[in-house]
Amino acid sequence: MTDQKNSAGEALASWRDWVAQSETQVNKLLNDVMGTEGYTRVLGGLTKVFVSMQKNTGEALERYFTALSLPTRSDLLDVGQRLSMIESRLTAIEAILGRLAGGGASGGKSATPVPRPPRTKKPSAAKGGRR
Amino acid sequence: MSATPGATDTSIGARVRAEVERTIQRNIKGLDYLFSGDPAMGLTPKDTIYKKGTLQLYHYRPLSKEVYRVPVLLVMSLVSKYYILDLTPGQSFIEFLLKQGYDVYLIDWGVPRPEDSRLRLEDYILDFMPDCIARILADSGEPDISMIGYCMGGMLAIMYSALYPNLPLKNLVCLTTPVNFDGMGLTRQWTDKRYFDVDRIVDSLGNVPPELMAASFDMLRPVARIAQQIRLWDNMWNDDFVKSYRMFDRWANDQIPFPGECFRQTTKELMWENKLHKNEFELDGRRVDIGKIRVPFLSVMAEHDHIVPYESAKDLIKQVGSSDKRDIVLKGGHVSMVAGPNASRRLWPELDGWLSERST
Repeated sequence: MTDQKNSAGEALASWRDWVAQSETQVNKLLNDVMGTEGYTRVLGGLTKVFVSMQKNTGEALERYFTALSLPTRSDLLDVGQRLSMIESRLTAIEAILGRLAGGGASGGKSATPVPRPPRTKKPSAAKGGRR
Repeated sequence: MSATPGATDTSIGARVRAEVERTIQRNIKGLDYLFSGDPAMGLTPKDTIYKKGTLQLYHYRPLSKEVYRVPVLLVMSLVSKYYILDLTPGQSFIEFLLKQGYDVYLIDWGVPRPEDSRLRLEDYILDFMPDCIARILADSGEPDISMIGYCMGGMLAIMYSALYPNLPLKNLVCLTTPVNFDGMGLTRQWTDKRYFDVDRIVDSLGNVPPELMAASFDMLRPVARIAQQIRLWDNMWNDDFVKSYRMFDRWANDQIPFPGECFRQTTKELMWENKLHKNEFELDGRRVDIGKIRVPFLSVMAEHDHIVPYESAKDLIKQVGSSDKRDIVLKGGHVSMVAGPNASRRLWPELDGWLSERST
């Protein structure tokens, strides 16, 4: 009687164990299939299809946007590249200005003073003993 | 297994009550879960001391009254976001290091832009890393640093250390770092050169899209996401579990593209030809000989790592030329080893014990 009650109370725990075990078993089963040469061949084929689709869709959209006199992805990428060049130059200028102002050599350094505790810390004996 | 009937009744009654309460909580909190935003992560106070393209070099603000002499540089992987090392207060590896008295810097490679598809490992190891290390030495005023690399970040740190044996490096720590790509299991199988057309991918797409990266990681544990959803529902009443789940889930879904040329190089030279393990890998005509690494070295691997299997990481310790070297295999997986409650009990104290002795 007591066992029955206990087992009823532990049903959820068993179910959790079952979920964990099933996960491991199904993962292993699928991984076994995925480790075959046939699966690799199919996966390689699917990747080629995915890549070709991405490429063809991109090219088709590019033609479409050009026909509508709208900026294409390549145009935006060009702008992005120019922006990142400007950004790099700004960072370099910032670093030079920082150096001129005597604030160190780092580009992008924060204006807020950073606390600098002394570099005197030694390992505690307890840590040293943990090997 | 004997209990008084009264006690058993109470116990069962309490269990039923607890389950009913949990079911109610699941529904209430389930709605909260659906409608609340992403959790904030990577919030440990820091300053950006250097930027180059998408790269940012962070210096974390100290959280102790005195620090060890040697600064620590964390090198992240190219294919994942850095905030896995800085999840949330109490579950942040970076916060832990700061509280233990380390002066912490981190290289965040950022999200590669389309124009970054031309970047090769040479750019990262011969250009960006030396730049960052020079900045750290200038910023800290110290003559040397310790490096901790996670996953592919460990590989970058290994390559850098091997190419610059006279560099100002005090200690090197690699966390789940692959070196023998024959041990990469399914990932190696799926990139079989007979069927995997890496040139077509890079030539057509530039950077490898994050969806492709995420799909390849998911395929390694095909039903893991379903099982995680079931566990989430089961634990929806538990705020700590839900918070932790959301952080890891956000990180796992926040994949970034793999810089194209770097992917081509990694696939052909490391995955197919296993050159790093064979000591044949070259960067800009210079051979990356891991045996030239002589600094104190620690390699940490995870027992159940499905992304960087133990077989692919175990030989690193043999190849490194240091006399002071050690490897540790910890319970856990690729991510739970470095982040979350398990990491705070296992990896972090082990690493602190090893590094603190060598940081003065």
